[in-house]
Amino acid sequence: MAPTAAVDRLRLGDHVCWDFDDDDARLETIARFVEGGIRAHHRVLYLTETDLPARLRTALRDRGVPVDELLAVGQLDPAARIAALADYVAAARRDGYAGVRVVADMSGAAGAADAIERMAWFEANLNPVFTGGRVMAICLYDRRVFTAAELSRLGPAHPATARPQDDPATWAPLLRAVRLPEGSGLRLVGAADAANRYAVAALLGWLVGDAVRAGRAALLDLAGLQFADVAAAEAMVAAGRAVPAGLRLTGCRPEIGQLITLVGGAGMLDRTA
Amino acid sequence: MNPFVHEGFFYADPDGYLAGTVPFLESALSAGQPALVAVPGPNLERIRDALGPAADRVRFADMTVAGRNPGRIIPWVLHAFLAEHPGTHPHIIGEPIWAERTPQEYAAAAQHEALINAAFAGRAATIRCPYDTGRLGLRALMEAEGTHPVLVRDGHRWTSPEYAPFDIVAAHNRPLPSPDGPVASACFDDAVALADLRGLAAEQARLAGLPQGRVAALQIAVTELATNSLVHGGGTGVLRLWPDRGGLSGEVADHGRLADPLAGRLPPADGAPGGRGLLIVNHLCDLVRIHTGPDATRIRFHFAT
Repeated sequence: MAPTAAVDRLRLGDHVCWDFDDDDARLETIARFVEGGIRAHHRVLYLTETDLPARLRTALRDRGVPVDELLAVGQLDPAARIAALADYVAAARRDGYAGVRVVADMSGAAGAADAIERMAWFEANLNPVFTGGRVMAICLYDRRVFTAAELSRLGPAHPATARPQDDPATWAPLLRAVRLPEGSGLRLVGAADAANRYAVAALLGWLVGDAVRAGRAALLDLAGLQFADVAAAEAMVAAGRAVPAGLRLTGCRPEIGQLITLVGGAGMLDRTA
Repeated sequence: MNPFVHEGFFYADPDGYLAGTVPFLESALSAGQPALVAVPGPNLERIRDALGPAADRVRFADMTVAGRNPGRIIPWVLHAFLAEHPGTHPHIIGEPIWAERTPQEYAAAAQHEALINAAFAGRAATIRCPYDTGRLGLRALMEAEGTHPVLVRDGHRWTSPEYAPFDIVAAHNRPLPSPDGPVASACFDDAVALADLRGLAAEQARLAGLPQGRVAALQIAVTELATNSLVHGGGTGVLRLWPDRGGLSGEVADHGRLADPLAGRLPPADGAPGGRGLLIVNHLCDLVRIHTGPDATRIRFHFAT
């Protein structure tokens, strides 16, 4: 039971590690994701080592997607790599698209000795781009290519992971991160634990950098955060110590506030929230 | 010379109790040293009354609350007090063992007494631990001689010939009793499963009638223990939960070995991130018991209603 249908519930801003072990489920997931993007007038970037695979063209045509026209106008955009995702997203916006969808086929990237560390670093540090709410991505990881140990490093570089055994009726992204419109601020919605450890670290790193560069305090809106584990609470407190003007945590649930207090961050809690 | 002093103090009645605690505290105060009394409520009141106005300069904690989980005492009572008073020689009356402790609580408390020595070796502090010879069983009194390098009784003070703290730790590292009713369980082998474990924990906690605040604490404990299994325990594990004594008990079992007996008892060095999971579990749970061997570790926890 692959959570294919759950792609319909993804929103701009989501960055999901999509594990699969079945080619039909993979094709169905991609086709459904692309089709949804075309309907929403998103530009769809398909990052792959090869040209648009023939099976995918067929699957899209079977769904009534005019593949050749979309390729011609550039709404469907297969590419080996792009220079910078943020620039790509900005260009799509200038071209009048409502958003960008990325399908990233990661299998070609496996192999080199340091490939996994590089990929994990790259994936984690892409997360700040998604917080603007103009791009969503599914990163396709083949369980027949990547080992469980490799996936345990790569998965947590994403805010959320979908696995073949997940139930499409109930699957939802574990965490969403949204940049606040003003100042240096981030809203976290969902849960932060070992399953998104490196993504959270990169997001907090971005928040710290943004606040330090601007010489202002950082704000972390936790009203939508249902759960944080001890390491996530520690990461928030460490981030707070790295901003000279301070980090303010607002909207914290009592149990998360207690955890932050226990790891030494009592002074960062906004008591008025 | 090791500036850390850990004394087992045997008393038989309230007068003996005060004779072994009040002058100890008064001399600490007159030397300008900080003093803490962490003992069960009735004994706490007894000491407070006997101290009179001097009690204002002593910190008090009801051990049946602060030390209900014996694993909580080293990090969250003793270490916290020492860290608050750098450059001093704190004097502490700490009574973690009393007659009403259940057998599982007693086992955890005896291990706690044994581990105090390693936890605070080299630190300037004196901890005196009262043992009620009239009400405690023979095993508790004998083991107190194994966990305290110095013993005190009727004004006499001598070096314990039976001092062997790690033998006491090992003696209580025993298979844990099986739950006697239905058990809810879930295997896990990746971090994505942690959210499912929290879902199971919430469901079982509500069935057991835990209040909302404790449900959240249970979810944190389950997440931390399972995360430890993923990282240190061979990458897989099983969570079990069952109703127990009006509350909820559970355990996380894996194929790792918990080699450091002080794990979860002391905070990591200043500023170092990570390694605080068990420390927080000890803070949140009403009891934590560990059975560990060469290739299997089981950490059991209890939440009272």
